[in-house]
Amino acid sequence: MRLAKFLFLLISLITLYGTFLVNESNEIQYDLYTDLDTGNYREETTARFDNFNMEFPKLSVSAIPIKTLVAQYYILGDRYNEALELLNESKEYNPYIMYNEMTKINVFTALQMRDSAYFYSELAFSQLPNNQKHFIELARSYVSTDKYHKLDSIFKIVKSKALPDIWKYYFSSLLTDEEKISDYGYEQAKEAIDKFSNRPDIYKELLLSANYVLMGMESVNKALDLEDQATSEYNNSNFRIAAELYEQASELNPINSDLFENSGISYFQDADYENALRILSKVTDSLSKINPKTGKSEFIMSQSYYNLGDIIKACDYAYKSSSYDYRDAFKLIALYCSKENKKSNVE
Amino acid sequence: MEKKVLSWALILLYPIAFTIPAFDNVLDYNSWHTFLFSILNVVGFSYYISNKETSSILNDIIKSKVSVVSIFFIIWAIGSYFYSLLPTEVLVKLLLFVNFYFTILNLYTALKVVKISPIHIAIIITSVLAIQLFFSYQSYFRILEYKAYTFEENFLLRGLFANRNVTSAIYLIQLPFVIYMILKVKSILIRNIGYLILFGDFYMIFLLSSRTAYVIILTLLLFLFFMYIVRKIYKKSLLKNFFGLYTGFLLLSLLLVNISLGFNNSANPVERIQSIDISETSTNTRFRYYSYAIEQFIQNPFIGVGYGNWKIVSIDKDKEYIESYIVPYTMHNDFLEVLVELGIIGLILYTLIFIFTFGYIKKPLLEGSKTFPIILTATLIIYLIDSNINFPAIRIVNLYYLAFLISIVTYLYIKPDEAS
Repeated sequence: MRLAKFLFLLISLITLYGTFLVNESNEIQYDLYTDLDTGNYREETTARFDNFNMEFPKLSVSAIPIKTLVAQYYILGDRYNEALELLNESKEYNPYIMYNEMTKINVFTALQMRDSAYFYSELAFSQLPNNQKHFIELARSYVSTDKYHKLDSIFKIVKSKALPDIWKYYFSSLLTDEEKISDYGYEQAKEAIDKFSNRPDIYKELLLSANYVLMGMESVNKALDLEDQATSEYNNSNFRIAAELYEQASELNPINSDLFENSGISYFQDADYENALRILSKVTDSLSKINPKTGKSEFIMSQSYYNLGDIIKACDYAYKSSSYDYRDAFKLIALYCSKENKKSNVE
Repeated sequence: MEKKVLSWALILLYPIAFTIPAFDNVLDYNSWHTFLFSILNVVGFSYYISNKETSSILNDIIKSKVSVVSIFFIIWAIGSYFYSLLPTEVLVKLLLFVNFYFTILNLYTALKVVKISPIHIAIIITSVLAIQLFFSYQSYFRILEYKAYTFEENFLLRGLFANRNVTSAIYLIQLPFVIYMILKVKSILIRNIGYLILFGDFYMIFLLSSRTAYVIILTLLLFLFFMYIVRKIYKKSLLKNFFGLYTGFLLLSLLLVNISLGFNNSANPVERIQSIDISETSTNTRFRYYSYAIEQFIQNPFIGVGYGNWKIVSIDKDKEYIESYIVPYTMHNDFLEVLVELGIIGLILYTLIFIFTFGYIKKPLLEGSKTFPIILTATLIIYLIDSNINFPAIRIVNLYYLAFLISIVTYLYIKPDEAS
């Protein structure tokens, strides 16, 4: 029993040393993760590396090899050999999380070793395809090695669970060579516009990239130029010119509802109510897929109808606008939808 | 005298360790607390083996069934070092279990040395709970100074612990001891303080809104009702029996939480209980993990993937669902995690720890008339439910309460022939 107790004491001392090492590692991991989260890799953290025991424990609290986390600092300091040494040492520590492979891509990209970066991108994606970073890296590798035809196939794999960023990077990758966009790519751009246009405020960049794919970058860029000119004319109160420029822009980029709305508003300001209604109805039409549902187009249409003497339609559009919570629409309801107004209109 | 001072110090210092701030920022306080526990364990154990009287007490606990299966479990886990994917992780996870084991040895010896009575144990645990609750209520009242409390703020009430699930489990596991103290203490002042702590404990558990806690509360209600029937204590007044106290304060705090939060508040317990749904994401995720456990067990039934290695292997299993570098990490069921890491033998050894512990209380629970075995069984039930839904085995704070429970049970109910 005495020997057993001595053995127990020895084990308790080893345990004490082990917990000390784990706690020390935890303190440094706090710095590593703080830097990783903020993107600010501080020198105070690197100062602790000389005396940092990375062998026990080998994994961080989130199961990423600690040596891989440290390798990031060597990459930032252009010390690629030391980074690779740490990455190679830790490659078997957690072979499933693919953080090691993703870090190697950074090294090989920095060293212009595209084939190696491509190899590790494929490896990371094939292990964890739904990690958006893996998709983005592989898409980048396909673009840099001129393998555009493979972009669609990897998007098909992740599409069902794809986060908006994956859609955006897929379109961005396609746009690096517009001539190589497949029919599948165009279909996805249409689908993205249907899927995400209900929140243009959140998915602005995604929708723009889908627009680029569908309309072509040249058309969209021309439309942007025309839009700038139109805005400048509008600010100088040249409403007729502004309306026409916005309309031209809308023909080049018919997915952008702002162009129609701005053209409609400009015609309205120019007292050309028929044209205002013609162009705004393209947004508010029941079959339209570009209505942002802010109530703005309906509000202008309501005023246009009123100015043309059609109070019933003016009231109708005031109600439609208010259904989207367009604040000023409620004032129009009070003005256009009273019994006296309707009666005088019938007479 | 010296050994009594040291024993009292150990009994008090283990729970106090959770209030000691770390020297430096740490990513996870669990490692800091485990380190502090290691210090206490070395200090206590080295003293106890050097003293003739305490050394003989240590002999008793080392030879007990719970201790023997724990030693076999440690040996079996060490064996996995030689076949696991990352052997160092075996040792890292073992640090927790070994500390848990030494805590049992030290606490058992300490309890024996000071010859503590159940009421004193209950008073100590109630006092510790009161200190822990203070930290949660401090945050709660600070929130109320600025806005009405809602579900979104519940992480602020975690007090001394890592998250609200751990906090809820810790507050619940101590609750039966508060009931015992109220029932047995003679001082009216202490009893009234006990009522306040019992109410405060229930109220805070409802504010924390952990759904595991609701499952535990309901199960405990059924268990206490069962014991109420078995023991035939209907004649005692409501505030003089464990079932009446538990049910009364449960309903009172539920009512007051509902009134103070409002029925439309997202933190309202009724709302949270209604959201316990088997088609809900977190429930689905758990079932998915459990299916991996069965798959893995069929593939490798005897030795498993190695202690502490599930967090690596689970990534491969769950790869279709991982969208970032946030990985499953645990099984959300300690027993299944032991099964996949150490195979069926590991699971048997691990389960035996609980079976033997219950074995010690079974007779006094079913055949005796004392309340304390009911309190200890209730505590064991709380731990078991938590370990079947969450992962208390990787948190030293949860393991401490299990170790304390085992040491109390062995101290009070171990048979003399087994001890000798």
